[in-house]
Amino acid sequence: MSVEATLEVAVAVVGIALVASLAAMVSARVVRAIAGRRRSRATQRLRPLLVAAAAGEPLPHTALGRIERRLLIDMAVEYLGKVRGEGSEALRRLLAEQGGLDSMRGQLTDRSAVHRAHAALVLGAAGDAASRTGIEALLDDADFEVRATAVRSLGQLGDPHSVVAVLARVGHPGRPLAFGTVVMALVTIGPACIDDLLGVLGGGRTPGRQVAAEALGLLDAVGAVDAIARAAEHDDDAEVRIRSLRALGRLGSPRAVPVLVRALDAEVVGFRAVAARSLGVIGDGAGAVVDALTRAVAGPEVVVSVNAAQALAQLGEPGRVALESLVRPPDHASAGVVSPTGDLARTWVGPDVAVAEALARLALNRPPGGTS
Amino acid sequence: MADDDVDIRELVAFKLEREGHVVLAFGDGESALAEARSEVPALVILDVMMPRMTGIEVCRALRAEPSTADVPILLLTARAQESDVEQGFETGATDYIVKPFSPRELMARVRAALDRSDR
Repeated sequence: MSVEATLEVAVAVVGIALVASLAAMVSARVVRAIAGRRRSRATQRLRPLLVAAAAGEPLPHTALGRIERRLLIDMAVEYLGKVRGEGSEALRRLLAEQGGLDSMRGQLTDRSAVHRAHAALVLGAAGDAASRTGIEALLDDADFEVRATAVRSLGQLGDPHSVVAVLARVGHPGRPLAFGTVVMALVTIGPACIDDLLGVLGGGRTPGRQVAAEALGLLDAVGAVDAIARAAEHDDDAEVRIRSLRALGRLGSPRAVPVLVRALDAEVVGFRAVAARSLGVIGDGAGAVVDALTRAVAGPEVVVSVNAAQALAQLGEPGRVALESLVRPPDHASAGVVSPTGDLARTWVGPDVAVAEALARLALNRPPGGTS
Repeated sequence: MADDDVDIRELVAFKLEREGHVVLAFGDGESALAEARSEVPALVILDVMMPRMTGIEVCRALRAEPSTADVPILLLTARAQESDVEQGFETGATDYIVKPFSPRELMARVRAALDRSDR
C-alpha cells in the first residue's frame, strides 16, 4: 500500500473515531436529559401525595412505578425531617406500603458504602425499629461515613438498647466514631439512656466517660448531679473533668456550687475557666461564690479572668457590686495589666479589661432607667 | 405565609386551604412584608431564617405599622432555644411553633389566634 493510501486510511479511522466519540457524548447528554425530565415529572407527580401524607390526610392507594418508588424514598425522608405527629406517621406508612422500608433493609448489607449509608439514613428517619440490629452492625463498618450515619440513625430510632453498643465503640482504635455525632445521637435518644450513661461515667473506658459527661449535661439529667460532681472532682481524665464541670453548669443545680467553687482553685487552668463559666450559668449570688469569682478575676490567666468577670455579671446585684469594686483608677489599671511574669497577652486583655467588658454588658442589658 | 423551604410552604398552604383559607405564600420575608402592606392579611405565618429579611424583622415591621399592628403573627421556625422563643415574643409574635412541627397542631394554633383576634 502506498504512503498516500495509508494516510487516507489513517485520516478515515481518526474521523470515524471522532464522529463516534461525538455521537457517544451527545447520546449520553440526551440520556441524562431524558432521565432528568423523567425524574422531574415523577417529582411533580409525587409532590401532592407527599404533601397530603405530611399533612396527615388519608391517602388513596397509589400504584407507583420503579422510578417513582425510588424518588418517593428520598422525598419522604426530606419531609420526615420537617413534620411530627400524624404527618410523620402517615409518611412512614406510605414508605412501608410502597416497599421502601423493605428495600432499604436489604441495602444495609449492600457492597456499596453509599447504599449502606443511604439505607441507614432512610431507616433511621423512618423510625424503623425492626432495623435496629442491622443498623447497629454498621457501627463496625469499614467506612467512616457509614458508621457516622448509623450512629445518627440509632439516635433517631430512639431505642435505649442501642446506647451500650454505641458507647462500646467510642474511641475504637481502628474504626472510631466522631465524638459530637455520638453525643448528639444519645441526646436524640433522650432521657431513656441516662441510666446507661451513669453506668459508663462511673466506671467505663475513658472515651465513653467523656461522652457520658457531655451527654448527661445536654440531657438535663438533674438526678445525675452527684455522679457528675464526683467525676468533676475525682476522674483520672482531665477531659472528663472539664466536660463534667461544664455539665454541672448546664444542670443548674445548687448542689453543684461547692464543687465548682473548689474547682476555681484547681491547678489546671481549663478547670478554673470552665468552673467560672458554669457558676455564671447557675447564677447563685451567695457570698462564697462572689468571693471566689472575684479572686478568680484577679488571677493570672486571661481566660479565667474573662470567664469569672462574665460570671459575676450573671449573678445579679451581688455580682455587679463585686465587679464595680474591681474597677481601679486608670493609672493603677495600666500598671496592673502587666503580669509579674511579663506575659504579653496580659498587656492586651487583663482583669481590668475583663471587668470593664462585663460591666459594659451589664449596662447594655439593664432596662432603661431601671436597676439591674 | 413566608418560608424559604418550598416543602413547608406547600404543606402549610395545603392545610390552610383545606380549612377554607386563601393563602399567599412567599419564599422570603421582604416579599411577604410588601404583600402584607398592600393588603392586610387575617394572619401571618413566618419562618425566622429567610433570605433578604428575617421573620423577626418582618414581625417587627408589621407591628410598627398601625394597619398591621394587630394582625396575629405565628413564627414557625427551627430555632428552639429559650432565647429564640423569648426574642420572638418580645418582637410581638402571637405564637411560636418549633420545627419539626405537627401540621394538626399548627392548624389548632391558627384557629386559636384567629378566634382571639376576631378576624
